[in-house]
Formats: sequence, C-alpha cells, structure tokens
Amino acid sequence: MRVEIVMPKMGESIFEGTIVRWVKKTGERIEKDETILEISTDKVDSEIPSPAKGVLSKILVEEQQTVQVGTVIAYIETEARDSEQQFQQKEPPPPGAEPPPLEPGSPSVVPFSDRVPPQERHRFYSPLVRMIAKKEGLDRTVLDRIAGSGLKGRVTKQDVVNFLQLRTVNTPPAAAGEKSSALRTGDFGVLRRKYPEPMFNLVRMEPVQKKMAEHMMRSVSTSPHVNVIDEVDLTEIVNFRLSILYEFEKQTGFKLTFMPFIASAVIGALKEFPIVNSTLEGDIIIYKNFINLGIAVAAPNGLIVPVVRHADKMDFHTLASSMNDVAVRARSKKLLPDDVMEGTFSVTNYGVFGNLIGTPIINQPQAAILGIGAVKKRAIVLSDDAGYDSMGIRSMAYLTLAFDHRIIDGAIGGQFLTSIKRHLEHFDFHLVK
Amino acid sequence: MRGAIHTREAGEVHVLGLSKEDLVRAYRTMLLSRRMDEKQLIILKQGKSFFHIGGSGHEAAQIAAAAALRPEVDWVLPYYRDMAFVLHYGMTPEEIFLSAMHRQNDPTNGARQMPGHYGKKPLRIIAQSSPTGTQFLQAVGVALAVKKEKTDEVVYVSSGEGATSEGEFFEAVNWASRESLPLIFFIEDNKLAISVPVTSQTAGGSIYEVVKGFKGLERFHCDGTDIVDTYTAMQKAVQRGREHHGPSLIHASVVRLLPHSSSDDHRKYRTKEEIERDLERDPIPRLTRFLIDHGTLHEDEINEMKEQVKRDVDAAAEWAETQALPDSSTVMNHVYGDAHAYPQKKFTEPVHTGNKIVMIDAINHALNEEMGNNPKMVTFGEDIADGKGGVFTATKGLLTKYGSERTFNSQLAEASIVGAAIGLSLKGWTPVVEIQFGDYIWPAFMQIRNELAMMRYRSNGIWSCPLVIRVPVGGYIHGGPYHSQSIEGFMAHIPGIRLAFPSNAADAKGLLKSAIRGDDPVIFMEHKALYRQDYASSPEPDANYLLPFGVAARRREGNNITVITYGAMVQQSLDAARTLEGKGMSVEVIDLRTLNPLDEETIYQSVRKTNKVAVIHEDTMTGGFGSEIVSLITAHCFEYLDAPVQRIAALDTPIPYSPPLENAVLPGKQKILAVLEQLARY
Repeated sequence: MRVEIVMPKMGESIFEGTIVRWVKKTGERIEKDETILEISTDKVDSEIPSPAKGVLSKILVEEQQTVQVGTVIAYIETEARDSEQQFQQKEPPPPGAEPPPLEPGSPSVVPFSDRVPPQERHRFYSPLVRMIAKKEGLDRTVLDRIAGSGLKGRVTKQDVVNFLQLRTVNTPPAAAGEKSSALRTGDFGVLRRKYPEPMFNLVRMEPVQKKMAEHMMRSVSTSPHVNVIDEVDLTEIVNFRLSILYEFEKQTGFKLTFMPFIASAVIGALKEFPIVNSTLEGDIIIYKNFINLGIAVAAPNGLIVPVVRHADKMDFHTLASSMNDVAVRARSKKLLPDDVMEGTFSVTNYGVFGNLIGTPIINQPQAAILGIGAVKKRAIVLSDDAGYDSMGIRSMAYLTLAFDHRIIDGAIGGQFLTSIKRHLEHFDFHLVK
Repeated sequence: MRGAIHTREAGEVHVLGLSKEDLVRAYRTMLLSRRMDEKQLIILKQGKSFFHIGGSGHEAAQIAAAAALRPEVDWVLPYYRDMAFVLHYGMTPEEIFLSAMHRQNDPTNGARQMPGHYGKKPLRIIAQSSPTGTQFLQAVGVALAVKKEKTDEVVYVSSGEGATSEGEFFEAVNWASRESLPLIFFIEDNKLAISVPVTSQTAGGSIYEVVKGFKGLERFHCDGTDIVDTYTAMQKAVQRGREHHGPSLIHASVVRLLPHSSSDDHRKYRTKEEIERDLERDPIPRLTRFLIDHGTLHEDEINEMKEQVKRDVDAAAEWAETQALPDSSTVMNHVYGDAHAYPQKKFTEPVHTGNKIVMIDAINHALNEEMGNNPKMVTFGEDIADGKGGVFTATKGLLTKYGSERTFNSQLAEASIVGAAIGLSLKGWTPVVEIQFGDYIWPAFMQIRNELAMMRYRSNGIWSCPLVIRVPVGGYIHGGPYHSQSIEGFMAHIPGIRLAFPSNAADAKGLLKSAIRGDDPVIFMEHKALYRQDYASSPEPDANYLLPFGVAARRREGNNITVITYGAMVQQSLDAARTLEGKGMSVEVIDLRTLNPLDEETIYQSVRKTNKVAVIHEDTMTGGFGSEIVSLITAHCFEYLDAPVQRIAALDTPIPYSPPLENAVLPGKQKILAVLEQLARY
C-alpha cells in the first residue's frame, strides 16, 4: 500500500518549506518514526519521522527545493493489506468532536490530555481500539493520553485513527523566537578536497548526534548558565544501600542505584523552590505543578534524557522502578518519542565515568540541571555537637547545579543546591519501606 | 376359530386362502417374535441394549395383517409393538438386533432411534418415530400419493387403542373417509395405554364404536388373538382398498402380556387376576392347539421348531454383537440433504423480463412455473383452490391450469396439511403447501418439529421428506395478536429445516423456486405487509432464476454502522439509513434473505469494516433470532467491535390491534433512528 509523505505545516504563518536533506534514499527501508528527511522553514527546522514502515519508493522533491505546505514530497511502499487502508482514510469527524488545531511551538500537536497520569487505568478501551493499539505499537501509556470523543469520554476508533494520522506530522518541541541552531549540512565533495584521505577521515553525524549538537548550541545560546558546586556526604546512603541491596534486587528484579535517592532529594528540594521547576516564555515564568524528572542516560546511539512523569507523586519504590524502566528502555532503544518530552528538571550522572566535577548544560526549556560526580571516599573533618573536630573517612560526591540566570539568581540557586544536600545527608530511610 | 372354512384332507387345512405352509410359517413367526421379546429383555438386562418394547400377545393379529399385504408393493407404517408384523413382512432377527444393540449398520435408523422403530425401505416399511399418533396423517399422505398414481397399492398404518385419542387420528380418519383413500387403520386394542385403561381413554370404551359416524369408512372388529379371524377382516379391508372403495378401520382385540416397555412394571397398576386372564388369551398356545388338533403339526415338530427358533435368535444376537458401533464422526451426517442438491452452483444473475411485479405475484408465478416443471409437484392448503385462489391470491390460477389432482383445498387442520405433505413427500411427490397464517401453524408444530425436521436424521438418511411450507407472517396490518405473528424464532432453533424470509419480489421468486427444487424441508416465510408493497416490488426475474439459500444481500453500502436484518425490516432499515446519511452517518444494510442456512461470512465482513452493529427484526426481543446473530458476532468479531452489539425488536408482548398500541410494540423508524444514533455516538 502506498503512503504519502507531505510537507508539513510547521506553524500558523508558514506556507512553504525547503527540503534540506533526504536522510533516507530511494529504495531504502524505513522503520516507523525513523527520520526520513530534514526540512527548513522560516521559523523552525525539523526532522520528519516516517509515518509508516516500508520502503521509500519515490522522492518527488529534491534537496534544496522549496514547496508549498501539503505538497506530496515522497511515497513509501508498505506491506500493509488494503483492509488497513481504513486507518489512513480521511473520515468525517464524529459529531461534536473537532481535532485540536496545530499550534506553533506547542509541545505536541496531537490531542493529548496532558493532565492524565500515565498510570491511570480507569479508562475503557473497546476490543477494536485495543487491537488497533496493538497493531500500531501504542502501549498503554500512550493510549491513556489520547483524548476520547465518544460517550463519557470514551476513546473511539476515530480518536485512535486521528491520533495515528497526526502523529505522522509530529515534530519535536521548538520554542518560538529562538535563533536557528541548525547545523549547516556539510558538503562532502567540497570537504574531501579540503581534508583528503588518508590524513583525514570524514564521517557525517548521525541524526541523533546532530540533534544533540543543535540542542546544546541552542541551550547555551538561550540560557546564561551559572554553576554552583557543593560536596555531599553520602555515607549514610551508601551504607543503607549496601544493607538492603540484595533484598531489594530479590524483591524487585533490578539493582538499586544511588539515583533514586538523589531523585528523591531533588524532588524534595524542587517542592521547596518551585521556581527551579519552571520554564520561561518571553517574560512569563510558567510554574509547573508537577515534576517530570529527566534522567540522562548514555544510550547506544548517544545521550538521551528520558522522563519519569509525575515523579513527585511517586513513593520511593515506584520512583526507583520507573527510573530503572526508562533507563532500560533507553539503553535498548525502546523509548517512544513521548518518553523524552515534557520534562521539568533533569539530572545527569557523570560520576559513573569516575569524574569528580562537571558543568552540565541545561536541558531546554527547563530552568536548571543537576550534575552528580563520582562517589569517592575522602578524609573529611568532622565536627561533633560539642565543637570537637576529628578526621573521618566518608563517602563524598560533588553536586553541580547549572541554572538559567534569567530565571534563577545565585541566592535561589545556592539555596536549592543546599536543600538537595540536606535531603541527602539527612535522608529519611523510612521512605524506603 | 370363527370364519374358518376348511376342507378335510389328510392333515391339510385350507383357511380362506391360508395354506398349510402359510399357517406353519405364521406359527413360526409367532414363536420367533415371542422368543425375540424374551431375548431382547435378556440382552437389555445384560446391558447390551437400553430399551425394549415388546409385542407379546399381539402376534396373531400382526401376522394376519402382514400375511394379507404384499411386501415391496404395499406401504406400511407399523408402530413400535409391530415386531411380529415386520418379521413376517420380511425383516430379520439380525436386523432387529442391530437396532437393539445400536450398531452402525442398523438398516432401520442407523442406531439413531431407540429400538422398536421398525423400517426397511426395499420392503416399503416406513420407520415411525416415537410420538404416538403422528403416523396417521403421514399414512394419509402416502395413500393420497397412491391414489394419484392410480395403482392398486394399499397403505397400512397401525397403533394401539390409546393413540386414537390423538387429534391427528381423527383428522386422518376424516380425510381418508372423505376422499376414499386406500388406507387401512389397524388398531391393536390391548385395553391399556401404558397404565391407562381404555375405559378412561375412549368414549364408550371402543374406538370401533366411535368411528361409526365416519361416512366412507368401513369398520371391522375381530379377535386379534385369532389369526384366522383377523386375517378374514384384513382381506376384506385390503380388497376394499385395492378396488378403490375407500378406507377401513380394523379394531383387533389383543392382549398385552408384557408391561408397556422395559421401563414399565405393570404389576403396579394391574391385578394378578387381570394378568392371568390375559394369559388365557395368549395367541401362541391357541394356535398351537389348533395346529395339533388339525394334524398340521406334531408336538415334537413344534418343540423342534421352538428349539430351532431359540438357536436362530441366539445366533442372530451373537452376530449382531460383533458388528461395529457407529462412529462419532458421523454425528452431523444427514441433518440436511446433500448440499449440492441445492441450486447453489446454478445461481445465475436474473434476466429481468422488465415487468415490475409485486411479491405476491412473484410467488404466484414461481408456483406456476414449478408446477409446470415438475408433474409430481402438488399444492394444497386452506382456501387455495380457484375461484378464491388463496386468501392472499398466492395460488390463483393453479387449479384451473393444473387440475384438482394437483391443486386442492385441504381440510381446516394444519397438522393435516403438514402430515399429509410428509407422507406425499416420502412417496416421492413434491408438496408445496400453504399454512394460511403463521399464527395458526402451531397445530402443525408437532409434525414440523418431530417429523419433518428429523425424518432424514433419525433414519440415517434412508428416508427424507423435502417439501415447502409457505406461510404468511408479520404485522403492521392492524391484524391483532393472531394475524401478525413472527415465527422464525421457534423455527430457527430446529435443526433440519431450512428457512427463507425474502424482503422483495425478485428474492421471493428466486428463493421459492430454489426451495421447491431443494433437498430439504423449507419453511418459506412471506411477509403479508410486503405482498403488494410497491417498495418490495421488482422487475420479474426469468423462469431460470434460482436464488441459492445462504447468500445474504448488501442492500446499502456504508462505513460507520452495520445493520443486519430481514423481512419487512429491510425497508425500514434502508429508510433510517437514508435519514442518517443527512446527519453524516454511513449505514450499511445487510438483508439476510435466509436464516437457515445463514450467511455468516457476509455478516462478519461487514462488522469488521464498520465495527458497530445493530441487529433488527420484527419478532419479539427475548429469544428472537437476533440473539443468535449477536452471539455469533461477539464470538467471531470480538476484536473488531468498537461498541456493544445492539438489537432492535418488538416488545415482549402479543401484537395488539389498535394502531397506537401496535406501533408501540413493533419496531418502527423512530426506534431504529434512536438506537442507531446512540450507536454512532458511543
């Protein structure tokens, strides 16, 4: 069955787009959601993920060409039977339910119900809806966030169909008014002459790498970064962790790391300093009344920051389990695009590489990021209550808070970091059941 | 022995055409039958059989009757006690044991009926079923066929005296007497119907007295324990029949020496004296004495005969026990006839003659064409003959064209119509009968449910009775509770009968012709409100158009909702679909056309496409055929359902006369629209 790729509408005032680069070539196999091309518009540049699994059978518009929004630019041949045609058809909307309009710069362009926590299982999905979900690889968390237009908010076949259609033009978030941070597409031919082999080796960046590069550039050019650093005594946590390590793994099936403790402390601190959990839009600070904690993971194809949603509502065990889950999925490339979206604060652990101190870059559009260094035993001066000093050997780690000085000043930033330290050094182990 | 005319030659006796050989043979059969009773009870007690119903005490009467008839020529419908009859008529102990021990090659019923349901097609013994009294009207049908074929065959039907209380007995005697049929009613009166004495059964204590009033019926009374007496009566009755003088009833007085069956203990309700009295009339000692007295047989010859019989019976039982049991893989065989007998492969696109006709005329033309095709097709029912031509004019012109031998009025008795049709069909005719209103089909339900539907299966395919029962059904005509009923709910539940319910003239014509040519009994439902309806009219298909059963029609294509329906509700569904189209809803309408066989594949295909289904029928909701369709959809299309399957049907009430009431009960456009809209919103 033939599927069309069209030039998407990247914003309200956008009427045309330019093909920057065909990532996939004619005849190449494509997986669903895999990047198929890069486009550039007046407002935003974007990678376009494939709406279907199959083979790129025909490219209709070449690189560097500009076409109107809605123009068919390529075809994909899928192996789907004609009876699946129904999921691609334009059907009249059910009475009373209009799909929401595509907005520029909105975090997503699909009718998600943002407030529904992913673990909510109260919704009814008909046998048909479940079958479609299974076929299209939509897991429960995704299904749970599709708005229902049927009776009593039921997710109907049409709702799922609409979601699938709109997902094909889903784009990564891009805030309005940002400077273009797209890396220029290098010309292999030209560069080979400038950097000939065998003295030089030319490798084009993977799309994921490129994405990361662009994100980092964008972040640095957007937020004035300030770093505050503190050291944390993690001895109590180290000891406690060791004591329950075996039992914990036996009970849950995964290894307990330091990360859940750190996440727990971060959440506690964020509750005290909500401005750290915000986003700036123009001159308006958007405070978020939920915490979606991003955990940086070194995945096989690069750095990725999957998000644990509504981490503030979780108990220790759920938190640990969710963090483990996203990490596992990140490393096994099983993350969905939604898994890396809508984070409110991020944590990055370079201590696993043995590094003591780092200065991380903020994960836009968040306000700050916490970096964690290696846990090392050091000789420390200990003061007891009576004021007597002694030497002790303690497990210590350096924490770095990098924050956006547009939103957060040094006082808040410092106090926030101190709060994390306090949570960690006086950890309430009763929380760990 | 009364009535014996004998010449005295040394040791020889001639009795009314019964030679010495005949008598000896008769005697041997009596011994054999008696020994068979004993042996069958033995094997039952050994767990090799599960039921026995004996004829001890009836032997003389039955053998006399059999001796007066011609096997392979005359048609006999013996009842469960007639073992001596069938043994004398040509069945063997081996065959009877095959049946008793439920072996696969049982020639009577393929082990599908209990023992005692004797039958053998080459001998023209039509195996009966267990319900007493259903055989009479079928015998009438067979006799009708004989009469039309103008041979000198006679038809014999027997029963006990108790079964003569059944209404169908009187219907049969009435019909046979009125039309002078070559039919002999042989009533073996042993004075007990299980435990009920004849004085509590029959007015005046004797069926012989009761039938006195039937003009055209000759009645005989005889001593059933006296072989000569009974034979005399039978000969007269048979001669009457052969010479086309009409029916006879022979009332033979016999004794029941055993309990009713192996499940009965008659000591519970009979005194010792009573049983002793009956033993005194035992026909075997009686004939023994006669044969010895007249020098026909010596005592040691008789003893030797008894011993030989014993040996033969034992050997037969032993042999039967070695035979194979039926294979469970055959259990679905013979519910219906050969599928290929259905004109499925001969389905053609109709060539329309161009004239638009209404459904009643389409039916009339179909009948006309098929009567012309098949000289053995007959049509009958109440009021169907010209000048009236049927209360809806369905059969007008048929009598005029094909004559009264083939088109005639039946008596006002539905059981008669169906029972006689079965008999005619058994003898190779094709009856296409009419029940005037579906509301009145119920007296025929015994024949339909227990005989028509089961004939092929219970005889393991040996006997079948393909025929068509046409019946107007449905309401919307201010007909009240007894001219508006839908009947398909009851009929669809019976395996063995095909059901058609066309929604338009072309379908009616094609389906009726297929039904008439088919190999199975069909109940052909005609919605009376559609008979002359313009929207149900069609250009007439040609005489070769046969619409196969089991092929539904998609009347309207759609994507959002599937409606599964039939009969008068097809048009109502289409009307609703048109209205809903204006609201942006796309409704697909499937017209089932036949309920058995059911076109499941078309239903499932549509459901998989639209994912929302409503089943609509006019019949009442609870237990209606719609529940079957819903169950099938849920089982086969579960993953494709985006909403619960809906049913629209009449309220669970009789159909009232006054329009405000009738319209509230029967499904209508408002109800349909409301449900479909709700379904779309779900």
